[in-house]
Order: sequence, then C-alpha cells, then structure tokens
Amino acid sequence: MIPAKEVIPTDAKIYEVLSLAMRYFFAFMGVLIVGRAFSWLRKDRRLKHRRLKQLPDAGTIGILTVEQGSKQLKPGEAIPVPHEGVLGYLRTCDVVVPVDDVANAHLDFTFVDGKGLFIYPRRGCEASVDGVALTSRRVSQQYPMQHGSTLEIGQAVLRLGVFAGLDVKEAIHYCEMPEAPAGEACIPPDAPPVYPPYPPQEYPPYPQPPYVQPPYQQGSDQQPPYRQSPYQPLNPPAQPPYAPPMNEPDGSPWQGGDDHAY
Amino acid sequence: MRTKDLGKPLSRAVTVFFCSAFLLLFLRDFKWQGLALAVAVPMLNVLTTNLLPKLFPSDKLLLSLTNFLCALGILVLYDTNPSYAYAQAVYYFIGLVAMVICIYIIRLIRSFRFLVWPMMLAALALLVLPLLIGKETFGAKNWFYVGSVSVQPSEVVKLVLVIALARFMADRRMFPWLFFSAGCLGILMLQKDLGTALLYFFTTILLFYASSGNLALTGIGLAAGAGAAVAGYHMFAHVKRRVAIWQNPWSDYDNAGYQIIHSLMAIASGGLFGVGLGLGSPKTIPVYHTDFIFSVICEQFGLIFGCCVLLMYVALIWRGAAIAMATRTSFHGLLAMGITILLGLQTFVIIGGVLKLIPLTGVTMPFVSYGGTSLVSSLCLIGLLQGVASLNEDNLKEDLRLATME
Repeated sequence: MIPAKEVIPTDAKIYEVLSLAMRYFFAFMGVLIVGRAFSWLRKDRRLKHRRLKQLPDAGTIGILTVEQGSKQLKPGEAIPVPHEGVLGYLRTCDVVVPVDDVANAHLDFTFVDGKGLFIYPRRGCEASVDGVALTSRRVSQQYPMQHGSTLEIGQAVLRLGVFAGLDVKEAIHYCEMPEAPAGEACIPPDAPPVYPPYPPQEYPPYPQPPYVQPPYQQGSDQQPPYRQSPYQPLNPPAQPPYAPPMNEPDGSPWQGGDDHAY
Repeated sequence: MRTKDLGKPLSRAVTVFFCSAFLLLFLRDFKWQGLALAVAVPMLNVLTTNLLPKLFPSDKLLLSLTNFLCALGILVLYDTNPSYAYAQAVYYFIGLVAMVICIYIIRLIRSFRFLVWPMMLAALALLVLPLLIGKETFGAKNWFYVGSVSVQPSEVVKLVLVIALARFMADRRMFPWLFFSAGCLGILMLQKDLGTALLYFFTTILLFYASSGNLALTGIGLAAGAGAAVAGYHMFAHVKRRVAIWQNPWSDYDNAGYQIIHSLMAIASGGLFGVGLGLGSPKTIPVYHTDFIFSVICEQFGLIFGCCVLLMYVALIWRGAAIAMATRTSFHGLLAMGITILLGLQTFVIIGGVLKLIPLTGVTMPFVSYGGTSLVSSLCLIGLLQGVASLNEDNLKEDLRLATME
C-alpha cells in the first residue's frame, strides 16, 4: 500500500482532482449547448410561422380558377398551384380536382421559369391545354400553360393565372389588371388611389347622434323614410372602392385578363 | 439578422467547451499537439460558422451542430488514442472542403436528371470492388485499400443512393430507383455488410413513404424486408450469433459477448457525470474508436452528457426535416428528407446497438466515429442538406422581394 502511494506522481493526482472537478462543468456545458440549440430551433420555428403569415402564397406560382367543375369544386373557386407536383382527384395530390373523369393522380406538372407550366398526363389520362390534346411528352413540352391558358381534364375546365414576377411572357400584364387575386402582391401600386375615399366616411357619423335621437323617440314605426334620407349620401362614396374586391371571389378574375392579353 | 443573435451564444458555449476540454487533456500529458488541437478545433468551428454564411445563405444551426459532433469525435479520439485524433482532424478538414463543394453542386445543378445515371453506374461499380479486391474485417467484406488508405465504398454510395432515390421518386418513376436500391442491397448482402444494408433498406422504404404516402406498398416493402431479415438470419452464421449475443450477452461473456458487455459496463461505470476526462479505462472497450465511441463518451462525460449528444442528433434531424418541409421542388424536398432519414437511422442503429436496444450492427456513428470515408461522406450529406437550405433561403428572399414589389 505505502509504496504504491509513493509511485503515483503528484502531477497525476492534481490532474485527477482537476478532471473530476471538470466533469460537472462538462455536463453543465452539454446541457447549456443543447438548450441553446433547441431554443434556436424553437425561435426559428416561430420566425417561420410569422413569415408564412406574411407570405400566404409563398411557394406557389399562381392559381387555377375553376371555370367548369362539380358540386365539390364550384366554378369560380381558386386552387393555389405549387412549383411542381401531381394533379388529381385524391386528397393527397398537390392540386386536388374532385371532378368526374379525373383520375386519382391525373397528371404531373412542373413550372419552369420563363417558359410556363408543363403538363405531363399520366398513362391512360387525357388532358388538353388550350384545346391541344397532350398525347405525348413531346407535345407536352411544346405546349406549356401560360398565363390565361385553360386546362381541360375530364369534365373540369381550369384557367391558369400566374402571379406577377414569375418570368412568363404574359405575366407582365397581370399586375396591371384591376382584379388580381394576387392582390397580396399587387396591393402597393394599386392601393394609394383606393384608400383616400375612406377617411371622409369617418366624419359623417359624428353629426349623426343629434340627428338620430329625435326620429327614434318620435316614431320607431317610421323607419323606412328615416333610413333613406341619412344613408343615401353615405352609400355612394362607400361603394366604388369596395366594388373591385367584392367581385374577386364571385366572378372569374380572368375575364378582364382576356381583354388585356388576348 | 435574428439568427445571428442566436448563433453567437451557441458558438461561444461550444468554443468554451472544446477549449477547456483540450486544455485539460494537455495538462494530462503535456504534448504540444494537445495545445494545437485546443486552438485549432474551436477555431475551425468558429471560422466555418462565421465564414460559410458569408459565401452563401446557409443554415448556421445545422453547421454548428455538425461542427460540435465532429469536434467531439476528435476530442474523444485524442483522449483515447491521439494518433487517431490527428488523422480524424485531417479528415474533418477534408470533409469541410467536400461539404462546401457539395453545397455548390446543389446550388449549381438543379436537377440531376442526366447526371444521375452515370452516378448510379459508378456507385454500383464501386460497391462491387470490395468483393473483388477487399479484405474481410469483423465478418464483413466491405473495405478495400488504395495504397495504405482504406476506403469503405458503401459510405460513398450513400450519397448517390439519396440523390437517385430523390430524383426518381420526384419524377414518380418507380423502376430505376427500385432496381438501383435492390442492386445495392444485393451487393451489400454479398459483402455481408448487414448494418449498411439495413440502413439502405429503411432509407428507401421511408423515403418511398415520404414521397408517395402509399401505406399499402410501404407495408408490403416492410414485410418483404422482414422476410429478407428472417432469411438472412438463417443464411448468415454471424447474424445468428449477433442476435444470440443481443438476447443474452452473458452466455458467452469473454468471447462473442465481450464487446457489448464492456460497452454496457463502461456506460454504467460512467454514472451520471462520468469518470472524468482522461481518467478511467476507455481502451478496455473493444472497438472504442468506431462502433463503441458512444460508450466511451458516456464513460468519460457521463450519462447526462450522453443524453445531450443524443439530443444534438435529435436537433440535427429536426432541422433536416424542417429544411425538407420548406423546399419548393419535390426533388430537393426528398433529397433533404432522405439525408435526414439516413443520418437519423444510422445514429439509431449504432447507438441502439451500443445500448443493447437492438442487435449490434457495424455502422459508424455519424460525425463522431473514427473513419475517414465515413466522416467525409457524412459531411458531404450535410453539405447537400446545406445546399437545399440555401436554395430555400434564396426562394424566401425572392418571395419577400415579390411581396414588397421591390
């Protein structure tokens, strides 16, 4: 026992003590590093969510508007289109078209910057772009869909609208159009002339209270004559700025687009 | 801008950790190499995490995680056998260069439509080589030597596998990837490299599920895999032995069960806080530098730190999946997902084996284990992932530009 103790050099003893002390530090550092990595992950996730809210159509190239559909997919509905994927009846497809005679996975599509949306029907599936039946891969590559093109599959007719900024030939016209479901992208240039009419609306309500009280006390039965007189001056300025956005969901946005592009 | 604020505390903590650990080891044997590593490894960490994002938009967290794991490997190797650590440091540097090249490749070549065919042929040829000129180690014939450097082709083929799977699955063409994957599996079976075969198989199946969402076919694939596993169990003697050892290592404790028992004893002796860096006897674990490096980590740093290392891998996988989810094209999405699946599975297979959770199969622990080919190919995989992340970042910038209309 005694000689063994003498053999151990003091350096080694010091090292042993040091190393034993340091292990708590190392464990602490490990936990710290992992904690920081995970807090980074969490914050990045929040950042991503915030960005997604800012950019609702990030990653999509445009929309397909239904011109002829079914009960589940009514005309006028808009389906966002990603860069590439599968179009078909199934819910797992990237673009879901629940219309008769559309196969579960009907066709593959790929968007190429500057050229358009290429449509490749699957085996046994028929599709035509602007009336041209896509019978082979070569035909598909000759006739990509561009802004305003129609796609006919089964009993569905869909019209493609490409968002502004994607370098497709006709895309430039798109932002000049009054409608634009890509409203998110188009707001800045259009918005300033639209908003000025709104502030005047806020002023009429202030004079209203003194006017309102007497008619109510006198006869609540006489509502029709009262309603007409004070509201009439208010309505005309309110309607025109609202009109274009109101039309968006109802009518197909490309009716105007045709005038410009075709 | 936000990520910069988050990156600094992490990289500071990593730097402090490695500086102090290497300095502690320097105090043990007073070799200048220890001091050099104490400076070089943290510096490489800091340099890469600061310089790379200046070249192209890259994922700093992924970079920090990878760097931490690689540096941890060098640290543990220096602790046990310094000569391995020097080689590993050199491979780490080579791997970083390869990673940058991979990032550029992904940024330059958007679709591997035509390149993937020659890559697949080359990969198959490379896989066959060990069968012809290889040398059998640990019951598997998966190595060959170029001069004095040993090469494990199955590590390199991983890259091609992931790219080919992603390419053909994105195109929804089933036969090319099916044949390529089956070919790889067949050759790996002939090499008796079952760990890697398992890895390839599950990567293919899981990526197929990710790309198609087809549960029925995935189930059939899994059933076929289970059938092949049962067949393999009866065909290969060393598989039978390994399963028997896994079930009861104590039945043959000084021969076949020696490795796993020593691994378990090392982890147990480490306790919560470890025996102390540079103390204990990690060298009694049989292949401490490759397969059982996780038990060395647990022995030296303790269970808490071991869990932290596992969580680092979890963070890496989480990040990889997040990158895959944010991609714009299915090829890049599947590529990122494939890499994530591959790295995650590899980690699970080896750590599960070391902890006696599953039968032990000889794969390396990504980034940490000693092995040039493994480290470089893992870093290449991370490079591909980084490339996809940088493309995502580019796309997001473009979207922001469009949303604000210049």
